[in-house]
Amino acid sequence: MNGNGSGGPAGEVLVIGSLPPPDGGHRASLLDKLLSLEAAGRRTTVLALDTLSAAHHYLPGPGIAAALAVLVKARGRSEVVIQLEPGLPVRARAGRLERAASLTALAQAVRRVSDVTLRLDHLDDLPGGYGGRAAVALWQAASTIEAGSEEVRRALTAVVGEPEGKVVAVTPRAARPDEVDGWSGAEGMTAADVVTIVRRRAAGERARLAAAGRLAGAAASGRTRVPQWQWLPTPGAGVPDLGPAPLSPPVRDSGGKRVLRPVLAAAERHPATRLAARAGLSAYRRVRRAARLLG
Amino acid sequence: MQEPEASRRKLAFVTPRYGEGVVGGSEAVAREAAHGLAGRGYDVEILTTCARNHYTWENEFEPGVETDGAVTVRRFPTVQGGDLARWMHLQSRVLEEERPLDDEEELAWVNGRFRVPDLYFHLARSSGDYGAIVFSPYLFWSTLYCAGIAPERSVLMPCLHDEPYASLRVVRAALAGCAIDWFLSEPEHQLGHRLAPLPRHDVIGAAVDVPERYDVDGFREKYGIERPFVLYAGRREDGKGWRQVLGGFGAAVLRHRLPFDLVTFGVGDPAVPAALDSRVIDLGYLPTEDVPHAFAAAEAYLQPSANESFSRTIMEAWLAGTLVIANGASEVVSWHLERSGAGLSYFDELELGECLRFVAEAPKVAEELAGRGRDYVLANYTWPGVLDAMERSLGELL
Repeated sequence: MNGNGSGGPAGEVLVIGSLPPPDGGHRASLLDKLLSLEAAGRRTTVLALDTLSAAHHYLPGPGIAAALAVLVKARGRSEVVIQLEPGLPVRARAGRLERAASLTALAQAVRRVSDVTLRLDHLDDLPGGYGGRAAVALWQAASTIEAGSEEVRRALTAVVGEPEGKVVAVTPRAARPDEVDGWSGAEGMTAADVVTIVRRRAAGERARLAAAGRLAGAAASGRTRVPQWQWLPTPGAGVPDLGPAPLSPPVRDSGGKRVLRPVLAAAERHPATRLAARAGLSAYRRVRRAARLLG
Repeated sequence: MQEPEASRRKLAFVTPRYGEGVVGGSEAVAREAAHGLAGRGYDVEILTTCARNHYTWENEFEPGVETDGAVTVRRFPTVQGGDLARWMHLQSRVLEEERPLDDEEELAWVNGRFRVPDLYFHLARSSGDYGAIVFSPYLFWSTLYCAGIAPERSVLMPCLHDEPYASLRVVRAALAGCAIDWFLSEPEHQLGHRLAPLPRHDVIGAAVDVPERYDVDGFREKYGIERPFVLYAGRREDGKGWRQVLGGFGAAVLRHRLPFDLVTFGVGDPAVPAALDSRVIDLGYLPTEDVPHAFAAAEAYLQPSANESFSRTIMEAWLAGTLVIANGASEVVSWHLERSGAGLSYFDELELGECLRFVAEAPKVAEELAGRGRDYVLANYTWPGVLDAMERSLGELL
């Protein structure tokens, strides 16, 4: 891969959109696209909206700013792939006018590019919906529209209309066994295959727990210990059937508590409201206790 | 094999514990090897102590001579060390490895827990009566003091673990100072080379008996076990990774909603935390005849110990067609797993959890993998082959 400024070497594909991390959704879809281009011998440059995702360059911001940046970066290119996502080009909270302006700006930005692939992994990835005049203008600027599913393809085909075959549903890459949650696809695996997946999953889980500060003893012993087993039900708590039921961690801090606590604390500070605060706290506790008893 | 002269066919196995209620891999190997060689016409004696409990070393068996099948058992009383506080201090220094013991302190450590002077005197008197004297395992007074009495006919079957004790000079001297060393596996053999200049030595392997049948339903009925379970068998103590199993199992049950109980049998206080009490079933010391059925009834066998020189229990699990999930920190067990392709290794509780989840969610694949384990054991670790190797190795002494 090669990163440069505007324009770019002939034959190089400009891929615009966010890649992992984090994995999943439109990011994973665009990564699949990138890998398929590279597998076909194409060189690519990646221009991402999310400044923490893997990319050569980043867009200056969402919305119209992104569309304008695409205009600059796509100049002189013959092939561009754009993954539509919240912020590219429509900001999640954009009003109708801003949405239309963003879509129109992006359509203009790629107008001179001969081969434009627009990608929409999920209908929700385009805030405000996939229809409307400005959106249709953008779809019409594309040579190919790649939909993340058959459902998306049908929806876009209904909007775009012609020509036949312009909107295609991309076949998601078959998930590797380690990407599937659970072990339903384990048939034919060797012990070494299983252990590889065990290691990979555990590493991912370890990283998540470490990031959340949930690992104990890792620094001291060099081994990961997950201190959650203390939360298992005590004898007599009742473990129905095979016992997997009441194993959820203790309730930490409910939303109600978060809201009530500062209110009650403020009320507690003033003699005039102190009694009411205490009565409120008492009532809250009674309700919570009753809710617990009811399961 | 060439028939040895009758006067040289007398063998002794010196082991610190022997008999009913004794749980330990090296003790089991010594017992079965002794009986196997007796079955091949050797006059075999077990020289052991009166102790059953490897924490207290109290004399629980009667001293004197008894017979156990074709084997003669001579028991000698233990004498407890007089200064337990000093021994504990030395012990902590051995484990810390920061302030190594000097020669005198090493001997004080060996001599300080228990000693068996009458065993020593017996060997000093009668070692010439034996064609070979096999000492096992390496760590105890009965080996470290007594193997030097007649080194020209001493065979050390150390059952080494890669642990601080193994690096003591007194241990290295014993490894180097016997006529023959016997190792149970190739990783243990390599560890021996790292520790000491070895005399003649052989990897003789070890073996487990192949049960004629498994009675899963009978076992479940007898012990009232209805739910699927994973199994841990052996000593329930920190050195064997028992607490790691408890923690890992508990975390896995919580995280993955696993359907398993944890069934355990063996010696030692399992000290199950209250939170896990409803999911852990302790069968205590299981009658020998029920052990194979327990292995067969389990969905998987857990081997959490990093200190293994052979690991009999994983062989018993594989023979029973049960998948092994083992601590990858044990070089020996990892070696078995790699060669057999019949088990999964883990390095922390998260990996253990994923392994358990695999067993829960892909039981058929787990069963297929475990099937390779039985083939592996039958091809490598049955008694006829091991006894042949022992006889070949002893040939020069007898």
